[in-house]
Amino acid sequence: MGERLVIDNISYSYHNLDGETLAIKDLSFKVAESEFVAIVGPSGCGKSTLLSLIAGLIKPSSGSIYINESSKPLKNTNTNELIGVDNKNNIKEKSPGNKIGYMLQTDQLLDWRTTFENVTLGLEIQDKLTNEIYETIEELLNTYGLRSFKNAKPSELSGGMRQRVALIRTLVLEPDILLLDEPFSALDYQTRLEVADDIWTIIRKEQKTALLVTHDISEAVSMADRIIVLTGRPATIKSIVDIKLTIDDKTPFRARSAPEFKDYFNLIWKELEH
Amino acid sequence: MNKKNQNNKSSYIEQINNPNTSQAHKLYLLTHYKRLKRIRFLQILIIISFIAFWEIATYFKIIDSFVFSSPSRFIKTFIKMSMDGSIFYHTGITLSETFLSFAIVVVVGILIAVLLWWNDSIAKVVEPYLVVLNSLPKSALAPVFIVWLGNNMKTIIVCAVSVAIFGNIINLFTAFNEVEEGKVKLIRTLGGNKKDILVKVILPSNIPVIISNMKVNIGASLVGVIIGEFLAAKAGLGYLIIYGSQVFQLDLVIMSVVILCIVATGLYQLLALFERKYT
Repeated sequence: MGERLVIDNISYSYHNLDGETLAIKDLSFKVAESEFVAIVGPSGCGKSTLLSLIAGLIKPSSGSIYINESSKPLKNTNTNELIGVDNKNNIKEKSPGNKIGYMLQTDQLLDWRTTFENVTLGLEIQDKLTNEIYETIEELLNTYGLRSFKNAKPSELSGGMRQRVALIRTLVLEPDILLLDEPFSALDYQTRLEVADDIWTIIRKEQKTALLVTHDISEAVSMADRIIVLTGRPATIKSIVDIKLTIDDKTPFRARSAPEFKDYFNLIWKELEH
Repeated sequence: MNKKNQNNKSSYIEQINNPNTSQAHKLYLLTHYKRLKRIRFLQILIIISFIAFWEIATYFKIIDSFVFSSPSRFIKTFIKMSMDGSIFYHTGITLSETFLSFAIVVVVGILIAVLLWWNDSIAKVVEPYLVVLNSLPKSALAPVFIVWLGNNMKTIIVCAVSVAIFGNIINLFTAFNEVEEGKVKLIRTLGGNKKDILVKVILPSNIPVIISNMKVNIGASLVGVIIGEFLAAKAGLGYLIIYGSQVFQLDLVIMSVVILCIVATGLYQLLALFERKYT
């Protein structure tokens, strides 16, 4: 039980030769186990930066990120000890993928690998390929309709299938939290609705904690248990909205026809405007 | 390209023999293949008339066969040198020098490009030197190599490598850096380090670039070997060309040039075949 992810008062600045840009300012929130949280905000507000921070690809300028309660916070860094701490952190968190599963904006399947080899990519990197895992992969591929495409190259797969392969590639690493960085934005509208249903159902079935970043309000309302609205740059929390839809057998597609759907949509639309 | 044509050809025959193919489509296919045939016919016509004109012009003394040689004369020279095996010896020398330099260019080129990709600071520091060395006409360096390395095969290899390697490094390094950023991020999100990025993404995604560069490199290596043989050789096609011109045996020169044409085409086709097989 309890919190999977705690973001404690983090700030992050970009540095370039023209100066310093504050992208995220004093941001705090928590995500509970098996919760599906969506983050919406104006474009360029630093949503993707937030995911990179959580994934440990970059370090916060100040503040801490806790993943699972037991784990240690990512160290604060200030410029004086930047190099020393960076080195230490690199050793400690050699593989951020251990706890975090990250789905990028496009599926990024490697063209020269088959479906199966794409799925095993993360396992190869983390040196976790075992016979049992092969069975798990077979099962996942069967469950999610990719059995006959096991040895197909990505170019032979449809957009939806590619996203499913990308998700399975992430899931086989058994992440505690899934980060979804606008994972449907590269798809056409129809595929997008289908894939959102697919991915959401898979995440629910595997009981994963998920954090979705999107600029699409209806996508956020249809998928999330809770929506965090961010302000424009520097990103701070504007409001947090709990989503409760009266609908049986929820899927993102069915959620769109729930009576409360348009109210939530309008509420968040207003939050983003002002 | 060839593979595609072959496929087209078999599909052409299939379509022509298929009773369901419409008359209009048959006509379209026929016109298309007639045009291809005409192009090939003209290509062959050009080379045959060139050789015929050359032979006839020298036969009727319109041009001097002592200076211009003639097809029959260099073929005679070729037959004579085939009898004693000397032409195979010289061609073999040139070929082995080319393959050796080519191998060095490919292997060392990849290693240096990887090093530059790995360490951005080194890349930034050496970039202007690479550009200068690449644009410098390497034939200007050949005399220096002779003084430094002596009148031997070492000079020829170094000369050939210097012709091809800088362009190879620059091309590979550029291609390595053009790999999609998302793929690099993917490896990092899966917990991979720089070595994983290199092995899982950079190298495999650049195999087509590496192979198409090899096609350029084999030609450049041959150029370098010939430059080297002009200056520092006791054998090889480049040596035959220089020797032949010095003793005014133009038959020998022309024959060597013709063999060189065939060798260059053969090497290119060999790598094109390799490319089709592996990409």
